[in-house]
Amino acid sequence: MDKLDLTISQGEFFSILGPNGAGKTTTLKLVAGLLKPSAGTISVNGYDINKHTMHVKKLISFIPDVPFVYEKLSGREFLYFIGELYKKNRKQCESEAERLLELFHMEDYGDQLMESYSHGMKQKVVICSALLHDPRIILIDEPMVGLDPKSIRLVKDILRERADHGTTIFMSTHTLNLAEEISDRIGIIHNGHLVGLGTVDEIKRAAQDTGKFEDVFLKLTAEA
Amino acid sequence: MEGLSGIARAQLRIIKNNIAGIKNQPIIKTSFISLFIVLFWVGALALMYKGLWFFNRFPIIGPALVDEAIYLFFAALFIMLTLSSIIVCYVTYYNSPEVDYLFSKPVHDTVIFMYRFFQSVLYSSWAFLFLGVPFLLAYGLVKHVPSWFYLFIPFYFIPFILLPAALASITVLLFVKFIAHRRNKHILIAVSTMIVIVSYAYYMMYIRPELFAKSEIDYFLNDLLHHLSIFKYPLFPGYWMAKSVIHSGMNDIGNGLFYFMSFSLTTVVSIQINWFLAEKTFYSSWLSSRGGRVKKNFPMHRGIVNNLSKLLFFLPRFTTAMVIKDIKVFLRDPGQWFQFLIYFAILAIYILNLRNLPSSLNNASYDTYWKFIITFLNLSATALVLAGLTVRFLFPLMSLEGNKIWILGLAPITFRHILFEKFITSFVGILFISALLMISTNIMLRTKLSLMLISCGLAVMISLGLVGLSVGLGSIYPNFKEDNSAKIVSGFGGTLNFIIALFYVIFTIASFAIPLFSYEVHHSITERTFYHMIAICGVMNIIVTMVIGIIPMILGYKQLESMEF
Repeated sequence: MDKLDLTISQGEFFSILGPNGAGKTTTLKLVAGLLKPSAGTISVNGYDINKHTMHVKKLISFIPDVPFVYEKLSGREFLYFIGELYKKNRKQCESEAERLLELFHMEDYGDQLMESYSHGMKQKVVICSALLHDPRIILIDEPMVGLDPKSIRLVKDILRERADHGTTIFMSTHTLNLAEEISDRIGIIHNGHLVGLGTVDEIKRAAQDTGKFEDVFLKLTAEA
Repeated sequence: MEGLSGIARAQLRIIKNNIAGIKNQPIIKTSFISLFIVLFWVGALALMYKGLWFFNRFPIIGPALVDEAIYLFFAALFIMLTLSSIIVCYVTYYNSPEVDYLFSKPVHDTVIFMYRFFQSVLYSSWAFLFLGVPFLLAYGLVKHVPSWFYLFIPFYFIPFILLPAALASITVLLFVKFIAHRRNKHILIAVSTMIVIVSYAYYMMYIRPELFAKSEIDYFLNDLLHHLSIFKYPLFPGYWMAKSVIHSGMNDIGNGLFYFMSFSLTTVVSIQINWFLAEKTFYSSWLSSRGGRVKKNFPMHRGIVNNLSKLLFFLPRFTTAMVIKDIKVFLRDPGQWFQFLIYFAILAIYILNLRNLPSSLNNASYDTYWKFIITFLNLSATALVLAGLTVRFLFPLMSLEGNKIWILGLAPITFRHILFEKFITSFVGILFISALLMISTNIMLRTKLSLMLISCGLAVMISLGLVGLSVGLGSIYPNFKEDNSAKIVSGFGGTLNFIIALFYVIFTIASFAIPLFSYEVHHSITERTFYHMIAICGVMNIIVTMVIGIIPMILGYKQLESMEF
């Protein structure tokens, strides 16, 4: 990333778009504290991530594009394990885990080892685990990969609803329609630079192109 | 042979890339590993030469004892190679994404099978390279064999690694085809286990008492020869190889070649059987291994492990959660606990065999020298087993978090906590094993209480140092890309762990053995000097244990904290 200057407000649904290798996942990982910036600072809810790491970790959830999970644990065991890591009240954690499993139609598979799950099922469990501790900020990288249409709709609704209730959503995606549909604001990055920022209309205006968003995106990310 | 040339070319390319990868490694790292390999090999040769030379110098029976050692060695190596090949073949054939990929390509089943078979052979060939070749060289040097014997060693090498793998492969193919996916597989496994137990019980009840009835020396020799006679069964392939080596060593080319050819032809026939079985069953058994599995449920709150949190109430919640998670992952991964069981089986055999020591050794009048020798040999064996256990099972602990490390990286816990949890869990487990080993072996040896307490104390201290070393180094050199713990251990960090653990064990035991032998056996130092030396050794060992155990843990923590995921 090169001099990325970005502020996302509480309760905002922000999507970051860009071609492969543009730096979307890197940006998310920097905010999640999984990568360290070589220069500059990242503040989450007013806390510098490098100085108040533990405090920030309690506030955020990260959903990676590839759902790497403990294959030898069942989905339910994984959720309970995450609940313990976040020191959630055991009873609350159990009822929340059951509610989420039911919401994603995973209650019948909850006791099976995750090694037997499909990619989409693992993704659902990871999404459940990210929602389990009621985070203030959700970082989500390509959320819909591997999900069936019903689950895509469900995830979109959940994320939008969470944003409406004050949770900040920072999503990285390749799917322009998805970003257009549910985001409050969009950032477009290309080769580590922010080349577009604002609502869909603001980006179009700035690019002096009133056509389709796809064309605007291609124009902004075209190689020189 | 559709697809064979493509696979061969790809393999050649991979080998070339791997060699290029070695060139890109830091020269210190490559030199260190190369030096260690050479030292290990030369050390193994020296040790084997010394052992065979020791047997050979016994009057009258010396040369015969060396030959008995050959039978024993080839039998043990053959059985070990066959057992390890069973695990390797199963994983290589049925648990590899590469096989899934190859089956989606226009490659013939038998080509895929033979390619994977030879890969398994390569995986298990190191045992002969590092144990078999030095043993044959040592045998040659002790027996002053003709020079052509040395040139013939590579020819021994090839069939000797192929036949165990071929037999293991046949077992795996038949097992997967006819047993693995049947509902009654557990019954079949249980029946086989029962047969082994009943055979052992029969041996203990009817054969051993006859041996005990004889006089001490008669019993000892009879017992030894009786045990060794099992390895001289004419239809046992290890026997043919041993016979071939013995005859070749005597320049008896005819018999040497006869037994070698028996072994080689059996190898060829076994490979042919593999080919035939693969043609008939490999694809269908691979298919059945993919699907049709009954997905087992693991309900929460049931079973001992799920209820461990009640027992571990005094630990922080995340530590308990991590402990339970680690135990579940271990117990549900047969690749892990099966090897652990093999370790335990070897330990059990070792402990049970201590009973075979002549009872005169335990008489008060018996030479103190031998009592000390045996006690310290036992301590060394236990410590080396612990070193092996910690390197094999604890070094990969952090690496096995693998691509899931992001979960821990994101959680509101520090790596200090995670590392501490791994250390405590491992230490409790290793302490249990070392205490069990030391107490049981000392009881078997009937050592006096003071010596037993010293050896138990040393075992506890060594456990502490070894656990800290392995968990710490495993965090300094984690390999999150690899999920095979055996491969994780074989890297630079694992090798370094093994070397440091070896030197640490040698240092600790030697530092106590020297004053004890000087005072109790040789009476070369006064009581006052002895106690001074013991006190100095105690302090020195505590410092070394702390350095060995704590410094890698601190460095490991720093490494994890600075890591990016």
